Amino acid sequence: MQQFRRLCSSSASAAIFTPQSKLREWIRRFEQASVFEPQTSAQLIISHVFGKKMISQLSHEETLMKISAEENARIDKLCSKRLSHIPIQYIIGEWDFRNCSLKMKPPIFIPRPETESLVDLVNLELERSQKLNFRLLEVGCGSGAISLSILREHVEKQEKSTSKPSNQLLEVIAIDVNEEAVNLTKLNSSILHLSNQLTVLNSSVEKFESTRKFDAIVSNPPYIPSTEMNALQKEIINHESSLAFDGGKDGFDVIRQIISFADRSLVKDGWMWMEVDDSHPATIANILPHRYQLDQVERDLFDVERFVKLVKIR
Amino acid sequence: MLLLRMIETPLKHSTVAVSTAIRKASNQNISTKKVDTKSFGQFCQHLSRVRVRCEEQNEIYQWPKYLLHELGGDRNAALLKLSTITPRCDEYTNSLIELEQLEEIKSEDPELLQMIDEERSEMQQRMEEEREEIVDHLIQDVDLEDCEAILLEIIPGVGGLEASLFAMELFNTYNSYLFNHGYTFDPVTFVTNEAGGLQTASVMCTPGDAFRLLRHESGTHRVQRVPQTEARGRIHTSTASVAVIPKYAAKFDELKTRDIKKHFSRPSGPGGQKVNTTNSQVQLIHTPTGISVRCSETRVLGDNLQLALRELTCKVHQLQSSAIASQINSARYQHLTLRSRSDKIRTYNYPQDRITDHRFHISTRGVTSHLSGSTAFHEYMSRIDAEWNESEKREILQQLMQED
Repeated sequence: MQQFRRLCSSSASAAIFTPQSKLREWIRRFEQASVFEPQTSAQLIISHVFGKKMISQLSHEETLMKISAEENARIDKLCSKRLSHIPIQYIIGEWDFRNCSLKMKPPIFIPRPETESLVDLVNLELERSQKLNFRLLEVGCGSGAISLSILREHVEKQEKSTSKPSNQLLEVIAIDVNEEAVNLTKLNSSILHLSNQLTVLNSSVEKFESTRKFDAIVSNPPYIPSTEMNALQKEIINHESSLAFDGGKDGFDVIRQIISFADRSLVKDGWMWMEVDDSHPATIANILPHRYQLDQVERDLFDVERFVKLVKIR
Repeated sequence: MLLLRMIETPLKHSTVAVSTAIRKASNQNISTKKVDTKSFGQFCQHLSRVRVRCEEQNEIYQWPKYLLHELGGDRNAALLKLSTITPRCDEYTNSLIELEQLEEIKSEDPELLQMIDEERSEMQQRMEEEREEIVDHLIQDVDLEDCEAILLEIIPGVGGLEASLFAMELFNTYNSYLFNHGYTFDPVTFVTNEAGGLQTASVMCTPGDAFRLLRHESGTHRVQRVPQTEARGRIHTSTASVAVIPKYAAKFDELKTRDIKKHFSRPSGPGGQKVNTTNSQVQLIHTPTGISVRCSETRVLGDNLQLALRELTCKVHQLQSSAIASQINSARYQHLTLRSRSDKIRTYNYPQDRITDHRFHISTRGVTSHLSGSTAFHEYMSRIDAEWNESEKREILQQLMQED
């Protein structure tokens, strides 16, 4: 009996955890709990605890090193959150979007990889524009992903170019109906040293008043038709704010509001690049007033028609 | 410009034939220096003739196949290049005539004979230098021109776990070396197994002059030692295969988007706001050739796509260029085919603490030091490069001289 007890206690105190063993443990538990992307989830959380973005950044020796009790507790705490289908980005509190590392905070909308292409499209427009002063509005900035990515690249380009004497002055205003989103965007803008370039305001696009007109508008507005909201992943339904993706009956509610805003505050010949529902490129022409033209439709990385360019022609 | 480049798997027998030839040549210690002056003189005349005829006949002139290929493949550019070389060729021919005249002088006078001797030595010396210059201008290190990046790929070969561990050591060696020499590299794929061995790795490295020394690493590396897992102290042999693929600036067309199939980890469907995914893995397949690349190095999907695309472009271009090369089958191509992945090029023997390169028969000691990517490593690779340079030039020159 004594011997048995000794064996038990010695094996308990000899329980060694390594990043590798924790990885195996939690992948198994995620799979059993039907967690979406079990392997990626475990990898991202555990590498985050060790200060890395990807598990491949831990050397082999590091994955076999004994972890401390604190590290073990932290891994278990974060991974347990994942069992309730909390999005990884909220659990680790950060995510990458294009060229920016952004802080993430529930329930503010998490940037999607598709939206990275929207930034490319806007950057192309800015490059082509002859205007020396460009005023851009982002509607529904969330964590600030779009505006900050645009600004970061703009600043980097200016730092590199020695040939252009007259650099384009880019003014970006970002608005969001959720005050928490405004705060998060301001935080991210601060971390990226872009606070001087970005003005963030708490307002819906409906109520937004601007004394000066805008040259262009960019947005990833809520666009999911209400009827489709229930079919979404648990991560989204239970944890991300529906304000960010509920687009009303046909998904066009906020888009209509943006167009109304454009009526009063977009310059003539100004453009609007928007991310939309995959059903919208085919039907958006139906809701478009004659003053606006559907100028371009672009696909995202997954080859889905995702982005529309509207131009105010009158 | 058609420029022949890297290799795929060549015909086995031609590889053997060339490697035997090189071994023979190196044993006999033939160098370009020992090329017969008369033969080289004839060669110079031949080059001058080519130039004259090409200028006379223009489009209808039929270039000697290997010569055109060596000069880059483009007729106009080749003529231009040749025109810069032929003045030297004419000088050589003239020197040869004078040398022959010198040798015809019959005299009993010892002083005169001595002067003739001295003059002859000097002339031969000058002619050797002229010959080196002509060869240098004619046969250039085209592989290195316009190389803007290299793709370094390592895969374990025979030997199970031990092979994967060795592959990892090799990977670390190249990694250290590149890092210490200020090269930047983007890992495209990096898959390890539970024991810390390497399953596969590929790295995109810039700038392209890394190719100069690393190109000789392509092939199968063999290690002979007692593995960590070996209980009875027996020596095992395992292998890892290395490929170093150059990426050339605008030599080939960019891959057509319609020829590339993209596969992502997230389920297909509407996506966008409707999906929250954190798996950013990308797989690209080039449908015409079937070449596929996978990348999950970063959290940004677009970045992984770019990395995968660069690697895919590299590999497809390599395949395309070797297809062109195999059609011409020049000495340069045959020489390059020594770099096939499956060829055993090097052995690392731990008990004897020796590294041997089988192509050039160059050995050195200090396996551990070598595998740390240190100066010993650099020196060894430099020796191999110098030797290769010599033997390649030899082969190419012989082929050009045999052409009529």
